[in-house]
Amino acid sequence: MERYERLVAATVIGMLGRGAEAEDVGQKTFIKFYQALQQYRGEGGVAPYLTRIAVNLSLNALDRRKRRRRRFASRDAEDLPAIEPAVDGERDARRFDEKDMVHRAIQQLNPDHRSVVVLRMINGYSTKETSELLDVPVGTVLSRLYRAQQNLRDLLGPYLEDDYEG
Amino acid sequence: MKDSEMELLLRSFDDDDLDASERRRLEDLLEQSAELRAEEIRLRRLRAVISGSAADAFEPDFADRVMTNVARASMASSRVPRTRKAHDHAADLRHAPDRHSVGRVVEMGERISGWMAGTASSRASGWMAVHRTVWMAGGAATVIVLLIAVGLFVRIQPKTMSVPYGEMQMVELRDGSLVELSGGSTLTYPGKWESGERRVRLDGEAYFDVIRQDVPFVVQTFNADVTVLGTQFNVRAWEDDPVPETAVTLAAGRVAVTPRRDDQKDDRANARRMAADRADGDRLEADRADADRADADVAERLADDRGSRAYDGVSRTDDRPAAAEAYEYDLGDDRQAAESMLSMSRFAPGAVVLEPGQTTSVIADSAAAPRSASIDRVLAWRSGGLAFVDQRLGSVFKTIERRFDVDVEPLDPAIRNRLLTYLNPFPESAEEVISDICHTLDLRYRRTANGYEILPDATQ
Repeated sequence: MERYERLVAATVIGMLGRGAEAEDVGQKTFIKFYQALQQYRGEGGVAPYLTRIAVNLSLNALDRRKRRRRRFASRDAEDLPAIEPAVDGERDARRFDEKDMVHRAIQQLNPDHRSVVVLRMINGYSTKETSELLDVPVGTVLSRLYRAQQNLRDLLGPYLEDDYEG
Repeated sequence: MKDSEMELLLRSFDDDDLDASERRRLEDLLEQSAELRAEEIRLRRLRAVISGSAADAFEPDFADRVMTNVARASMASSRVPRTRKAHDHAADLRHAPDRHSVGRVVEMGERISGWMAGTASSRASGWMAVHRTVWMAGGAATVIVLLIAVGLFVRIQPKTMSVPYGEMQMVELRDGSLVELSGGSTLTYPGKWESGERRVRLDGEAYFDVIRQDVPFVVQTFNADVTVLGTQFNVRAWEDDPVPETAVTLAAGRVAVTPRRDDQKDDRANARRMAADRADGDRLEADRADADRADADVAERLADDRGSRAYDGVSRTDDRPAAAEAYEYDLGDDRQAAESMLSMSRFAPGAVVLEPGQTTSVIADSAAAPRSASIDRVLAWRSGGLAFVDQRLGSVFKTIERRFDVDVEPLDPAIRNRLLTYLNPFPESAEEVISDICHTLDLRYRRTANGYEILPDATQ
């Protein structure tokens, strides 16, 4: 299980960010996998099968998060900005750990773009594998990847400059 | 740099996406454009950073918790949910008497057969036949009388309807009034109305649609009486809430909400103390003056009313001036509310009269002044929704427990006192609601065997 924990963690934390929600979706991924073992026929290997479950559950969680934002009217939440900039200049960029900063930037992508970045760029699946996991055409994966990279480049701009000394 | 050039550059990173001519063109562009070369470096760095940023581990005990939950999930699939236990238990009870009664019927049948066979030889005797007939008729009459008596006894006995957690039930009372009960609620009502009033007792939350009659309808809770003639209203009265209160919200008609007082004398003293604590000196003087002025007015009205029933059956229980009562039970800041209290105080000491769209709550022995309420939110539970407006988390968690039949335990007592406003017309699970709350209030939660534990945010 430890071998696949890394894979699921990379997928789920990449999609949802660190925290209780990601842990929860991670648990659900394995529970669902164990429950579906009887139906699993070994086609394509365990890793893609687990990844597909993790991505789908993460997308569900993101959908719930979106609905939650719409219906909440708590005074506690009123002061929180909806989206905060991932990197606020060079000074802030140096303050954050590299992984945290990248994850914060990925969290600001929309779920479709985020899932492509996580599968293609973090988990290392090919474009074809990514299209199969997400059940979308290869062209869609490429266009999402293209736009996601543009957004990430903007969000992480200062960090990617030549003169950056993080 | 043109968009087409940027697109070409981005595509070049993916799986040989470029054909030979595109690749040649990109090489030419990179040679010619320093800007594009800088962009390529940035993108390579971006991809390196992202691919190296995989968060590849959960918390240390993740695997143990997964295995525990997998085991629990597999056990749950072979276990009957708690919410169904009441049904199954009821089904067992329904079936159990059947088996017993079948057994008894067979046993009695055998006895009768035996008795009939044993007495067959004496049938020739006419006297014995007459004798037997008389005895049998007498026995039958006795049985019929006993059945009627038992039926009457059962009919007038108080009835109790308890709703299991996670369910809702509707009760139709003898007068045709309807009561919708939320999960965990208990309604006790008499088999036969006592003369002068229709009184029921509620522990929990219910929506009442009362048939109009001359006899008042009274909902008794642990600390209040809600008196009506015919109307629609919601009563929420959980004695086990962290701050027990009876909250009444009126949808249509008119109701009077009266705190229940076992020891009126002590309660008056408490009310005075509470009033003195709340009001500052100047306002107290102003209220006193108002009360004195109103006293004479209400005393005059009382003189007119005395001898007749006030508010259609809710009579005053003593002869104290109404204004004085209102003064004792409402020394709030809102003068309009105080006037409202004065105007209705002719009906019962400490009573609050609600108009449609208003709500009040009785805490301890003191009723708050009427205020506007969102009926939709208050009645959200009837359609399966959850709505909390500035409610303490302690009370919110209790509601979740009753709705979903789970345990919700905050590990830090301070969490119970945090306020929440939350609207969810279609909550799918306890976890969805708890997850919502935790995300909004920066709390964490974890599963337990029967529910959830709520923890403060790790950063606090």
